[in-house]
Amino acid sequence: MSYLLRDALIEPSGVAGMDNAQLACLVAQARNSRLLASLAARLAEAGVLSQLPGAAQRHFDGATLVHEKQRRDLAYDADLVRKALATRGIPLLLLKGGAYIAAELPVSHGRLITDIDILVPKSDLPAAEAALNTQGWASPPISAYDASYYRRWSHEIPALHNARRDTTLDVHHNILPPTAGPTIDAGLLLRDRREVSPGIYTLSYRDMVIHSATHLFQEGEFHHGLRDVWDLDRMLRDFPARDPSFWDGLVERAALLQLETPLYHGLNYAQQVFKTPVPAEVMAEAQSPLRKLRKPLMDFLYLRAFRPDHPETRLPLTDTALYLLYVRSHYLRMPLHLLLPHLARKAWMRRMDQRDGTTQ
Amino acid sequence: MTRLRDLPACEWQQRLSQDGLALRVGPYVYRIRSNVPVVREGIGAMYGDFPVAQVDDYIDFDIALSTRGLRQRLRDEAEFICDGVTPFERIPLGQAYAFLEWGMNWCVALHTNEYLKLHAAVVARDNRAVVMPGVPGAGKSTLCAALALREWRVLSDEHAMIPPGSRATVPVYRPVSLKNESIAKIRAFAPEAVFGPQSKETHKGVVAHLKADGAPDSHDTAPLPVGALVFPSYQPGSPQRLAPRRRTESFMLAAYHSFNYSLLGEVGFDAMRTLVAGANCYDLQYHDLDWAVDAMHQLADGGMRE
Amino acid sequence: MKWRLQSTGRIYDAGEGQVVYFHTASGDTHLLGEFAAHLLELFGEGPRDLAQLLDEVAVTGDGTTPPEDTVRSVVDELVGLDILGRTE
Repeated sequence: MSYLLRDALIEPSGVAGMDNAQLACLVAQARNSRLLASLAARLAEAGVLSQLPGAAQRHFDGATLVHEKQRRDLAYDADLVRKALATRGIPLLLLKGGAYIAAELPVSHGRLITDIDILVPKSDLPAAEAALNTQGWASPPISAYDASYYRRWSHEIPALHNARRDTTLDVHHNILPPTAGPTIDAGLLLRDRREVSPGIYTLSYRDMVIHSATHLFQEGEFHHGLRDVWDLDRMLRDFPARDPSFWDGLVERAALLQLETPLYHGLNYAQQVFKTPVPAEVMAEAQSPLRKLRKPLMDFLYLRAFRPDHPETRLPLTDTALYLLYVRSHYLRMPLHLLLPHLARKAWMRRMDQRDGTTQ
Repeated sequence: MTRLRDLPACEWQQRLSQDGLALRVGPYVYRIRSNVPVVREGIGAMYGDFPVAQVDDYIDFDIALSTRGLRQRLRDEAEFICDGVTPFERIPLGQAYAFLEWGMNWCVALHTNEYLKLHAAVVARDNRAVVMPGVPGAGKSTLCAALALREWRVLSDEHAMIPPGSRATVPVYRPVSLKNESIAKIRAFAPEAVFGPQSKETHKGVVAHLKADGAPDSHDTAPLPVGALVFPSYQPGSPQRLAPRRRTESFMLAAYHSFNYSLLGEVGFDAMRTLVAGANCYDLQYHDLDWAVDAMHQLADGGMRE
Repeated sequence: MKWRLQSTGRIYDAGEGQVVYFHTASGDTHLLGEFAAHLLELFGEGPRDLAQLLDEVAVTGDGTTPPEDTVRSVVDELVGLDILGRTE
């Protein structure tokens, strides 16, 4: 039963023949990977969902309702944000899940989101923040240390929360923190943006793929690892049909953004995990000798991280692999002399929190 | 149908400690694993009348309340595990049983959306249900427990499950959770009441569970029509009254106490409207349990929608 | 200045002098007074300005025309809930 979820996503017809024990295991794996609604959409599109026993179906339907709620909320909240930014002449550019949904791409089918992520030119940040504040998006009080950390070292400002809507907005001025190594020219991303409905933009198709791969391999959100690889698979299967020259310029674009390495890993793991068709010449173009050398170690780490968090699927040493990836991603984001004080301080703050908790 | 008490103790205890003990709870099946003695004791005391699931039934919630590893053993701690992951912090063993019950509620609150779910106790008399929404501390569980001990059927002390488009509720009986002074109050109200293990010092204070499935149809799964919505409030020192309240305000308050009204969107609005329009709505302000039980009897005798 | 409905909505009216209003776009549910509900009914026919509203409540009301302030404050409240918006 080890890898039911991946097999079901690749070939949904196989789910129709599953017994109850397998179905329950599949639902659990998908839920833990934040892919239950995505799998529901996949099964529904394949005509399999309605054939399943009602006891299993209701779990898929429940997740679909969560997704639909998020879609409705996003439509409303994105419009509020659009209007707020428009007062300062700033366009709304959505990133990640919000962008997939707003653009009505197949990758959005059943995609769950937690926050709304947007990209704003760095020079517009103060104006954007002020405009959003007037519409009820405010940053909760954070410590002076955290505030200065965000301002100096992060690619986003502290998350803005709207108390009336109970939604969170992550305002980015770049897709990687300034300390991460490659310095990405966010202007390139903004210049190629695509309008998906009046006043609402996303990155270009190529940049969406590159960003998704970058996010997966740099941000350290590995509990969403399989979900992010699924995003890549959906996009890589969809975009070439929308833009016949999609593959031609992909690696070149990543090179321009200095993001070839994450793109290579993204293509590689989409292919390995979901059998995503990637033209051989694109793969060859993306793979530098250095990356080839490191591939066995990377495979060991990532192929563990991409398994659903479920006892049936965990490979031995999964905890070790996840731990290494966490450290690695922090390391990639920040030079070491910054990393150590930051982690030490975080650990200390946690201890303080716990102590506060026990004295109440 | 096999009930837990039909199995030899050694058999269900072995299941509990090994592959899991699968029990039917209303429309769902929980598979429970535990190596914690107080959990075993609690399940034995509280779940004897629950139907045991068949081998090939769909397991909705695969949960465990167990001590794992040397560290937890040394510290007398345990953790709640759902589908292989641990969503919460470790807890002291003394809270294990209360936490299992709480975790079982959490599964339904978080993972199901086929019903409009109100945070409410649900009781029934003559096959007509009364839904009692309320915040913790409003006295809904205490009243629910008292009614169970006066021959009412308890459908839930936590979740009213309303199939959208109907004015019915689906039973999902589990032991009634009582806190702090309510425990002594119910012991005094009915000395024969059967309680599970008392958990100390949870974030809610002292918690104990009452076995409240004495009605012969306690584990039937058929939906029951909702005859009334009663909003209880426990108010020492105030006059006691059972008085009609406006449907529109009842709608708002019930929506406020719902786990997924907002999630369901327009479906939720329609479901709530159907429910509220089809039931009579009351405020029940009380401080004396006997008085409140009498008031509920009168309600059952003529205050419910047919 | 004219206002219009921002999105569709659903009303539960139990004849109690107030209604439950479900605002489709935001997914929010509000308890509205009878007068606010009446204004929403009027806006259901199309955008309106203050003068028009005052006319209409005088015509369809029970004779006791709410003063301009009342209409204005209810409209403001509905704008605050994003139920009404200015026509652009």
